[in-house]
Amino acid sequence: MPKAEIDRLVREALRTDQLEQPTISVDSMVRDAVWGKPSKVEINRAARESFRRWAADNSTSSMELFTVYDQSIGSTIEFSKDTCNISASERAILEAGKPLTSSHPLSRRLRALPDGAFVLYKNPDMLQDAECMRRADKLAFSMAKAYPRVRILREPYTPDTGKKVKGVIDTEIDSANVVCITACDSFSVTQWRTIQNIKPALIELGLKADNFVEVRDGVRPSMRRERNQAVIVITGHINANLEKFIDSLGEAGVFSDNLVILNTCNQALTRKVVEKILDDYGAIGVFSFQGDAEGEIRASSIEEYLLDMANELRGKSKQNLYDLLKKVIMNKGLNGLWTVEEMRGLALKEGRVS
Amino acid sequence: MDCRGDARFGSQGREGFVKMKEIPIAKVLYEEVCSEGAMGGEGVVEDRGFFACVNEHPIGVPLDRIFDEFKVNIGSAPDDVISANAVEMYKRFRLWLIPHFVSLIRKKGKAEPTAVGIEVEYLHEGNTVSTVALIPCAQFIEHGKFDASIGFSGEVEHRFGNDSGAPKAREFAGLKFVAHGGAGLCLRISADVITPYVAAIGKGSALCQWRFDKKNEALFGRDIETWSIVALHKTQKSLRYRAKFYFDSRVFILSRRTESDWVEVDCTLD
Repeated sequence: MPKAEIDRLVREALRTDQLEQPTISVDSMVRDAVWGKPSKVEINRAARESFRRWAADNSTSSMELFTVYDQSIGSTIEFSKDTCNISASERAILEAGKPLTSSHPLSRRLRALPDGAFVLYKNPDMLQDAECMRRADKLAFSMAKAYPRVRILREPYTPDTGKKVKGVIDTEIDSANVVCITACDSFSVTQWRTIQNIKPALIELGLKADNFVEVRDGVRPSMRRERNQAVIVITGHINANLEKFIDSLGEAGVFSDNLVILNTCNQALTRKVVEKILDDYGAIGVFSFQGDAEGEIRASSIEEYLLDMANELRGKSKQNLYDLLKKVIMNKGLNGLWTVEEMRGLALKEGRVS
Repeated sequence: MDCRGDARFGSQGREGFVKMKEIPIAKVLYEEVCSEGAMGGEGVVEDRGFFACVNEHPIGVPLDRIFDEFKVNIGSAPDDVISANAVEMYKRFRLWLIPHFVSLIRKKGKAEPTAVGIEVEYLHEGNTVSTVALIPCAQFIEHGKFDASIGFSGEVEHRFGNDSGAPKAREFAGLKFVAHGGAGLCLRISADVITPYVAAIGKGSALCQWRFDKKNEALFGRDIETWSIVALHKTQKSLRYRAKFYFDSRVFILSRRTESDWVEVDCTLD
């Protein structure tokens, strides 16, 4: 059977949106599985194994890919070379933001990469079922909160994975690199005047007055183009208006090769917006918040962490953005994750989908 | 020096003097009905002898300081008194008592105002400025015997956290606050007003106005004191606003208004 046909069968079995399909390297197991009219279960198993091998091949000494599979009695966290099973009660402990015992295999496993990062990738289950993805996301957020010293990111699926993760975790910034963008009323983005109210205090703490940009609907934002280090802070209530605002900024090239902090609640639309900023508009990474039980974050928390961040940057030389952001948000009881480029972006870039 | 005023450095000036600015109230609206319309001579309009003296650097007082004085703790208020949303609001915003004092003086002419008014516009530049209360306003006015007792009082809405050790009365920014005991703590505010006929509008906005209509006593040659309570972000350190003053006078049946230019005031949030 030609390789293209095997790929087609796998795609069909996975029942995913064509745009979200990676071109996976189908190994012999998949080939064997699909050769003789395999069942969906067999194809899934083969695809899962294929994904795991891909993850093993692409993990490095400083960046390890992992994914999460839901089981009836808990979850399986599959690392590149081994797996950790956690029970439902252990998952509940993690979701409460508390670490498992230091002797637990997961705790030991996460300690194994002190200077690197663990990166959650989308597995076949997550590609098929949005609920699986939501639960995997939730566990990743929980692990980030429970193990604050462990660097956990989401979903790169490209040959550049290591480079992009490095781009996020190694970026150093100072006050001049922070750019706050707000929408004028014409976009109808509700943001509770969060940025406007603290703007004088942020400027007093050293942020540049020129780096506060108000964008009007239909007007291309006029701002100094930064690359590879600018931290673009976007604040707003997550809805279609924010998405429209993001599109306007993206089309103006604001996100390209920059790091973006998205100050919005964690709703279903948030993931779509994050993916857009990364895949369509070329950001290096996007930071998004987990929120409370309803996925909400308060304007007061955003104000407080931004003021703390500006205060930490005040009068100092460059600081590691990943560590700084983690520190200031955790002090305010917030939690979030960086996401780097998704596979959809790669597929688009490689011309595999239109 | 200590008897000259509140000698706080950087607020009222180095030696505590209040810096006053004199603003002419001389812009006559519809001048054509105020004079004979002669195209020569001095063209006197009688109303052009009024001035307003304004404090250019007033000091706002945070309401939580007043509550602290009376040992009212908003954070410990029961849920049925203050909602979670309101507590969340207090995390971001502070309520400030902003004084707007003006002295109206007549230097020449014979015109007698039938009403005087103050218009205040807070210059917020995109940030939050919301007027929560206006003092005085119509419902605060209390008529005493023979229309002589001219005063107003208003109840501060927070009624919780009573403490027997709390003081009975305190004065802030020219307003007298009095604590009443009982099941909760009730603060009453009081001050003198020049007339019982007061109109005040602007709650919920960044623009507020007061109008005082003449009863018996003249409306000039005295201080006109108004206050607003505004919600501002807790990081805000000063509040700029502009104010305009006017008076109405009457010639036979014609009522006419004379007003000042806008004057900018920088209120320190202390």
